[in-house]
Amino acid sequence: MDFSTSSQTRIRAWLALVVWSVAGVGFVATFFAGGGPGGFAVDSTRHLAGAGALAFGFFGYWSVLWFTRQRRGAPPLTDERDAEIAARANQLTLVVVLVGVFSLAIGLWIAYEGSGQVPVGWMWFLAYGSVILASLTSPIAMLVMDGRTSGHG
Amino acid sequence: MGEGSIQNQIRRLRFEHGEMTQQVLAERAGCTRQTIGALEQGGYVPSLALAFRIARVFGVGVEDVFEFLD
Repeated sequence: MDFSTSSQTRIRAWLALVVWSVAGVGFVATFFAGGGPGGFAVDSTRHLAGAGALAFGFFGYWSVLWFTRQRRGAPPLTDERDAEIAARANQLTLVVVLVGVFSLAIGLWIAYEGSGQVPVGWMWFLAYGSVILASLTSPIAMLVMDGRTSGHG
Repeated sequence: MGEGSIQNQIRRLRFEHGEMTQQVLAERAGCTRQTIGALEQGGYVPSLALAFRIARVFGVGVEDVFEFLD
């Protein structure tokens, strides 16, 4: 991979964004298709498809890390600025995931307050969704912060 | 109390040192070319250690490269 024009941080962030967007769309489609959250908990096919989407995200991201790794003898691909960007992006990701989980929990309570019970399938959405949300927020935050600190953003 | 701003003379010093490229400066200072670009654009303030390493590459003091403006 050519790092002459973009930093490793930027390239990894873009690729991670693509990989996790595909995984996210795949999971959301799986979750809401064929009966919605109510039937998700008892539909093993959709379970498998959802897990496959998440596995695609993890394997894809791992592949991105491997293909963009630091080669021996090559100039450093990251430095203190990248570390600062990653740290700030992680802080923002934590806040976004906290707000996302909180909002979903409150939203479910409001939606199902009348019936007194929440379809258990939503727990899968909460679990998978929080992973995908974190994995999408981090590269977006990195791209924004990289743009800002590059002087062009 | 205002934060002030830090300006630098990296671009000028590079050209005064045989039109040194950003890549060469980055390799000698131990950072990435993108960080040198960010410094020259004023989008990033380096750590003290990096500031010293950049100044050392040019053979000057830190205050000849970086200037703090109130």
